[in-house]
Amino acid sequence: MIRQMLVLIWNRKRINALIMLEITLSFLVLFAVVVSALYAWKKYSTPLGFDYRDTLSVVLIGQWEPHHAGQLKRAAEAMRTMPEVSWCEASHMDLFTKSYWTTVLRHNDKPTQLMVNRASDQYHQLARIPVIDGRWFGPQDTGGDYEPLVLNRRAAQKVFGSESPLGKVLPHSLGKFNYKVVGIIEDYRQHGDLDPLGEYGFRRYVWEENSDTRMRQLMVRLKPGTPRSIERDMLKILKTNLPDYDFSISELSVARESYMRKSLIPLITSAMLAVCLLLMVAMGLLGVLWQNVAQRTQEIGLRRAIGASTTGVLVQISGELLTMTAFSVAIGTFLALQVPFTGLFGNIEADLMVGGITGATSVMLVLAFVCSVYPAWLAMRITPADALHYE
Amino acid sequence: MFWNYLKMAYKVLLRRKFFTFISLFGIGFTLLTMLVFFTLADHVVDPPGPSSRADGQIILNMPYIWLEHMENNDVYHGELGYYFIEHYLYEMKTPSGISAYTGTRDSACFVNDRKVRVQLRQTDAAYWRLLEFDFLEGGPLTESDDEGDSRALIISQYLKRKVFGNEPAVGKELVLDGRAYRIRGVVKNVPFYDDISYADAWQPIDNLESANYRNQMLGRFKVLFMVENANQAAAFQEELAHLWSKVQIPDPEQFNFVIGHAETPLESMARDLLRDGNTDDNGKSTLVMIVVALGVLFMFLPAINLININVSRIMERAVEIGVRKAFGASSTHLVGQLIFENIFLTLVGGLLALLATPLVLEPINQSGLIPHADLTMNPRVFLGGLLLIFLFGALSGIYPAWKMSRLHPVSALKGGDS
Repeated sequence: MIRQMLVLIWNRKRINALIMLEITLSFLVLFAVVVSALYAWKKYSTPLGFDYRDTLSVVLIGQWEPHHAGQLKRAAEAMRTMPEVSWCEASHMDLFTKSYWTTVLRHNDKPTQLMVNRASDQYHQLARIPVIDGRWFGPQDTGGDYEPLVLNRRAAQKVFGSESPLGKVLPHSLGKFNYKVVGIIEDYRQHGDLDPLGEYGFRRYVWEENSDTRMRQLMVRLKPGTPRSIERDMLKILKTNLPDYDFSISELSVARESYMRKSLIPLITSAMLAVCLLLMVAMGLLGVLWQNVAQRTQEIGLRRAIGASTTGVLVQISGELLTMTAFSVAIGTFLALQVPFTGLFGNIEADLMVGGITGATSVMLVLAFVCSVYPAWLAMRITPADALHYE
Repeated sequence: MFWNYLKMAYKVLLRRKFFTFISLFGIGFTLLTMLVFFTLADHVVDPPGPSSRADGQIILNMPYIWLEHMENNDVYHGELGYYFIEHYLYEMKTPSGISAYTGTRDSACFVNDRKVRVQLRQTDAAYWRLLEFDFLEGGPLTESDDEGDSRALIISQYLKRKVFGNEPAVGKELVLDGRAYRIRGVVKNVPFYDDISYADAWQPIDNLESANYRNQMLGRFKVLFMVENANQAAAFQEELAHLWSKVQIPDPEQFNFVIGHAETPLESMARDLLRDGNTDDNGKSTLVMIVVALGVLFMFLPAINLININVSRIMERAVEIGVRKAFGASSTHLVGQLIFENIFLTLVGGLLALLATPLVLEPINQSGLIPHADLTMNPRVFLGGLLLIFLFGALSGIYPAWKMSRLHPVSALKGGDS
């Protein structure tokens, strides 16, 4: 039966080639849309790795002098005495903004670029960053001949592969000191929920009296339900301890909300475009098939006259389109598989490829079937008499 | 003769109303989507409003800088500090205007105990000279606001309505995040996609109690440059390129090189989307190519639909074509006629799309999906749309016409396939 169908498709090869071209192109567009949607979803559903709720960021505005380190230490200590404050720690990099700090780690001469941050000894408790292996840095690292480093799982895998990362020593690229990996965390996605998953590392900030290491911001975890008016008391404490600075205080949850709003607008726009495109393709397939049936009244009538059942006709019409769809999808899949090789759109991970191809294939098959149902039903109703009266 | 063609095209369209509807719907819908998308892209790339200057001057934006350590490959990416702006960028000779401003940040005020979200931006006085805001009340920030603790505030029409209703707002007090401001002016709403102008409220940058921010190399500022024309823009880029090597970085142990780029909104967007860092090439041409390719693909699909339908419809008209051929009509004539018919059909669909575009844009503006969106069809988009329509009509007419012209009169008269 399939052979017969192929012969019928071949007989109308010009018009069918056009239909197949259309389905192939739609498949490719759909593939791109599904892959981007899956990628966005994958990023969104991967945990941030930290808890942004009830947390304030206090950015220090001013020029760092070494003796400010002691002032900063006392400011943090004073903040911790406030009853509404459960944690106050230092962390250098802003969250939910576009700024970043990257460095390169070399292991066995293989360089790995990763984002870095610098934070104080209890920061993982404040931000609720689960340490999955080893430990966060702490006082036991003071005085050692190394600088402790905490990596996220992805960075550890990229740098060390299958080797165990704990205790490994990595030279600083200028040979000034060595890093030692003391712990692995799941993640710390500084840029936000919809940004790419990357390699990340924390360096240790040591509370000292004098330090050249500039710290940009203090993080404060409040007890849930603390009103924002607490900022006034905080500013007083900050101002007394750090007289050379001004402070910009913001809630992380608010920063995240505006980040989400900004990132979602382009995503929603492209999704709407894709829906419009699908609608157009559906209309087109429906129209072409309908016309097909109208043109082939004689042929179908003849089939009915020599004993074909209505189901047989239905299977023929739907089957033809589905066969063509299957061929087009196969061509489309072949083309889609070339995408990772071109490298034009970066590396598409295997699970996204599989998801994109299955997703696009099923949508195209369903679409083809739905579009063929009405014309096939029309064809079913053709009686031999109709065919004889035709023209 | 065109009148004849027109009459014929009209009759053909009426003959099978369903297919005419499908064709028209396909064409109309495609062009409508394209027009809406074009309008959106046009507004993002060159938003009509404060940041678009009518007199040919160009505004270039430097939102970020990169600090690098050339030997150990450390990179720090962030917004600019005022120290750097004051000591290096303000010293530049070529630009005719330089302004420091910040991105927006979420702030809030309370109206009858209800919280109103306010997007707050800090700007210097030059910002109001470089960008052309429409003032409904009052006036802009002035040089005196750059000095000392000024509590002046400019608000948008939207915020004014929310807080003061229909009363005039200038001179009144507004409390943002617990701090009182006096309203200096009210401006027309600025849409979200105008990245350098959008906000609900603008305050002077010196609102902080001290001038500590003036000592930072990295901070929270972005910088606008204004140049008079393309020649001056080139001279400016030249001067900027030579600036970086002169910058003294406070902590050369950590970073020993700094670089930034002054770009148009499109260039900034391309860099943001396609380039990972501070490459010389900002990826603008790649972005344009990708968008054009997607656009062509997007049009190509419905064009194939139309070709499919047209090809089948020609077969229905085989007898008519056979007769015309038998009476001596040349192939060129027939091809011309069919393309004409197709362009006619596209034109009808296109006109419907042009008429429907404002009807689609209005709900988008109203929905609040894009804050303060003010998408309108401008002459540029309209002309682009017309061009699209003709392109579309020709594209989808050529193959069927070519096929028809090869129809043999005899087989055509028999009404059979060729």
